[in-house]
Amino acid sequence: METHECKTTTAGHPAGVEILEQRMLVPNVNVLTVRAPAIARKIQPGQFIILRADERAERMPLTVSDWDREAGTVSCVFMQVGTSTQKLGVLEPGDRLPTFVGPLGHPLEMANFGTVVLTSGCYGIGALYPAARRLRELGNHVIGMVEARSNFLLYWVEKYRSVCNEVIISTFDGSKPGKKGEGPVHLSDLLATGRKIDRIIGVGCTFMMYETARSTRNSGVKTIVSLNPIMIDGTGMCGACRVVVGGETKFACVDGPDFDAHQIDWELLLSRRKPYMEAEAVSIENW
Amino acid sequence: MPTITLNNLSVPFTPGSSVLEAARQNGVRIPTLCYHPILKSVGACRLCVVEVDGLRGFPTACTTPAADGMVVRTDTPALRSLRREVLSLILSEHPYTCLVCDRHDRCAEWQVTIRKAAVTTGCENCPKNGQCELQTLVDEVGLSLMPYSISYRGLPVEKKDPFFDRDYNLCILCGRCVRVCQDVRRTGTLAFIQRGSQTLVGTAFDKSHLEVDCEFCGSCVDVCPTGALYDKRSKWEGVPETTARTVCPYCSVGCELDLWIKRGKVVGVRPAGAVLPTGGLLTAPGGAAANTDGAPRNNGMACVRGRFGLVEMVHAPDRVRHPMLRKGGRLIETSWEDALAFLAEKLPAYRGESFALLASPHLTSESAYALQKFARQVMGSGNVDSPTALPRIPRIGELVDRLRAERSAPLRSLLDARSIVVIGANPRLSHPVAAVYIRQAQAAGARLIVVDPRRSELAKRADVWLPVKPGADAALLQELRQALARETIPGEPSNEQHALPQGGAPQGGAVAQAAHCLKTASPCVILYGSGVTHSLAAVETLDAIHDLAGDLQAGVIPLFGAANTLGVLDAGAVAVDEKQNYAGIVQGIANGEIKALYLAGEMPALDELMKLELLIVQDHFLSPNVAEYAHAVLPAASFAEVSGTLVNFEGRAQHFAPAIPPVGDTRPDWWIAAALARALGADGFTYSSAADVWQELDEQERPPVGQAASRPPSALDSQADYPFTLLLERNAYAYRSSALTDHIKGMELCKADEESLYLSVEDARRLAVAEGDLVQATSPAGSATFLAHLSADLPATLAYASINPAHGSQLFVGMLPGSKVCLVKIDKVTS
Repeated sequence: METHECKTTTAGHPAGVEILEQRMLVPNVNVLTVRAPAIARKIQPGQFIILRADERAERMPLTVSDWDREAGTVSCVFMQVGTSTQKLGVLEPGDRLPTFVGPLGHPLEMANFGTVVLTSGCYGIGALYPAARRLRELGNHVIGMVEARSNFLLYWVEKYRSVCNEVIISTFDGSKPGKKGEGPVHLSDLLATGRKIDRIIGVGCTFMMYETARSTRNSGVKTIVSLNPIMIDGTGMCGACRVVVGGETKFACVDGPDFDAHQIDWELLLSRRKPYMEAEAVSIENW
Repeated sequence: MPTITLNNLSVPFTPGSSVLEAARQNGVRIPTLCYHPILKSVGACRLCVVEVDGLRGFPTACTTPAADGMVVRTDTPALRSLRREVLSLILSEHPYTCLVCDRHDRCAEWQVTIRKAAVTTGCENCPKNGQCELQTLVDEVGLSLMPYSISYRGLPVEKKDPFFDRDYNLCILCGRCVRVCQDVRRTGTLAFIQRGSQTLVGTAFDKSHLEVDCEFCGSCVDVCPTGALYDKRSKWEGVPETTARTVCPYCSVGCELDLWIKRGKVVGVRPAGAVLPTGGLLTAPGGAAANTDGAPRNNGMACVRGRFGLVEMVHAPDRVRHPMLRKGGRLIETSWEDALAFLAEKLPAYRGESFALLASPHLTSESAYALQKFARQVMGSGNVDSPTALPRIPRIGELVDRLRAERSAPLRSLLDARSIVVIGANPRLSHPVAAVYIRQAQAAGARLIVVDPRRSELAKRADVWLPVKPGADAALLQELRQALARETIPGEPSNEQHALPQGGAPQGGAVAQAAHCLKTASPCVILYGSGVTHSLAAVETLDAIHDLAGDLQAGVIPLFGAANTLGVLDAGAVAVDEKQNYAGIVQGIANGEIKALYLAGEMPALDELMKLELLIVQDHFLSPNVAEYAHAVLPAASFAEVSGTLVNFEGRAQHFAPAIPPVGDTRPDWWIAAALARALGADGFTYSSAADVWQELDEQERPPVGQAASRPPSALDSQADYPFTLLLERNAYAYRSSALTDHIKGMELCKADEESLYLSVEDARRLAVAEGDLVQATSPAGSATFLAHLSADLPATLAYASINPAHGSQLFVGMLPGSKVCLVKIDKVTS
């Protein structure tokens, strides 16, 4: 793990990491690129970083969506869904993040599985892209399934096309280039064709991953999802991110964030995402 | 009564109704979207289409007048299909996916944790979720499949203005916000911009609302059927558990408001009558529908203070929540028992005239009554006053008497007026809802005559502006009466405005023109404000106003500043002689005669407070002065937490009930006064509720009014040392002893221009002051520094500044706490 958490500065070097790019890809979904060469050297698909938007902001885990090992840059796609992400969303190139720690968590298991289906939605479209790229390099037949409510929420479709063998786009309202309907439904349809699928990986909102788990449960295909519970330190100290997988308590930060979707206690995961909802509303109204 | 056949049933309807209204009168529901009862119908959304025998096609029910014998069908297969198509087209420009998604209910349970998104992309991350009229309509019209994909506009969400966010990607162009802004509020901030498929709602030149002088009344937010416009403060609170009807505590219009309650907190405010039942809200059990007693006088309107300034006032993090006593130089939180015991030990030493009470005119009548009874009966002191903001004038007793006897014309009489006279008032800032009625009357053709020393905003909109020298209103009104007596031949009055006369004296022409207006446009309503009641010649001016009203058979509306000026006067929490009034008390503190002071929601900004042996402060917030000098701080419950009565300027006693439990350890003001009295062993304070206090107050003989020697008022003539007359307008952002601008986010942006002093161009030239220079205004009492602004609306030697009474002003110290004018000299600050 490399850390760019520096409170003190040597002369002439401001603290923290520098933001190189901040762009809203589609409503609520931003891509943030920072200069973090040590992390860029080591990061693997599925790993995340923890950052703070300013000195008074909370720590927030984000899956790394892209990197350039030579240029030393790291990009995260994140969704503006609360005070901290909105604080992050208003920063501009040149601003500095006081904390940017990583790589954290285990990398996704990467091998030549055969045919791999990647299902993603909202921020997960960005978060799953590095896995698509790596799996293709390893010789897999990669099917990228990207879902969005409507085409105005689709992004990185061309990036997916460049690394996947097949791309299936679904939009709930049928807007082009999407196929009308939800991603998990199209996944069920795909499985129902009897085609041999060796692995399924899903990243997106908790509901989308839960639905993915439901639609693949009976197929017997190993399904991996990347969980996003409330997390604070990201190193196994606080225990806020604990989840129950296969009857065992696991920490999403150090044991995950990727787990077997069919082993997860989804109800518990959901309830553990809700305890601060009132405080979250107060926080954003006072921001 | 005429009848109409609705779906084969013959039913009666009120003459003058539209087909839609006739249907609603008979419980027949027709889907609507652009219709709103407080707005003129335009038939834009076309959801209310009906079939009418003898009329071609499908007329819209909202714009078709109902006629006797008309045969109407509201629900046929053709209409249902048409409505589904219309709604599909409307929704094709709205991120509708959640509206027609069959997984919606399951998804809602999961997505609730990420709903506070920066941009709304579906119902689950929309602040209006659960109260949106589109959600109701999709069910009502039976739309389950959408033939069209979403055409998203991709506009940036406007978040820079205070109080509410605007996301025109959610706007379905029903035009309610535009109509309420243009036709009801008559502020003209909003309009449709662009044309055809590019049409949007916006402001002139697409500027921010602040730049285009929006009043931030919030009416557009109230009538919006979607989440396009939403309060920042309660954006993510969701559907309230219940609502409670109450009365706005800020100004004396007394608007009825619905407080939205969730988890024992006020999470939102809506003016009564503004939100449609189709929003799914007012029909909630225990909701406001149960409290409704006829149409509220504010008719669905409020102003920036009532609409956006209450939640934060009640739940501000810096509200005083526990009693505090000074120990070792610091204020330490304590229990009520300890606080009362401390005061029971200290107070007896100050019985008699060394004790004084200053009570806020924002107190409820019950609280004002209990407090003054405590001061007079238990403490035996007549030093009781409220800054109903009456100046130190020789005939104060008569003025109190006059005001107490004032019987206002109803606010709504403005709507029927053909002429309106406004004297010494700036209702757009002080009483915005009254200002709306004036604008509505003007739009209906009423003539407006404004008496004001400066060419105020209202004067610019007037048919006739009568400039007057401060304090000379009575003479001007007498002149007007004489001109009226001469005016005999009715003719067409001219609309021509009169230019600023030299020297500020009214032109004979303007008075004649005003007289002509008044003679030819009846009925007339006369409004007066603090410019009259705070003037040294208040009694004379009031007499002149009533003489004029008598001549014209006009109604008179007194625009009292605070919410309960009349109630506090009636409850007797006001001085009746010169020595015991506010200024007398301040003088008593300064010279050491008054040693113990009880401040109930009032806080004179005086350094002399440090001389007091006992300072008791009872309020919602601690001002810096309090933190420094108070010996005991008693936390008062806010209007949302108590029951009580506010008497509006019409003299209407408006009772209200608590909406939420007390915040922290706060108590109603009347309860604190009674508990103190009992702690001091007094009888007659065993009230168990505000209703008990009200009953006693209602049975009281009104306290006698003192007869001070009648002397002619000293005219406020400029003196050589102080050549300028400074008009000081209270900027209406004061509540009890606090400035709303200090506690409510965004309020500081809202016309609370406390740093500026306006000077005539002529004076500025003489003083070599340029726009933006620092100037110092010095009165005999003190001085203050301002930024100078040059104004063409002021005559020479007249200056104008807006101040917040809660912030005090060095210009006032030791003098005229209620005065609107003071004599000053003005110097350019050179350093």
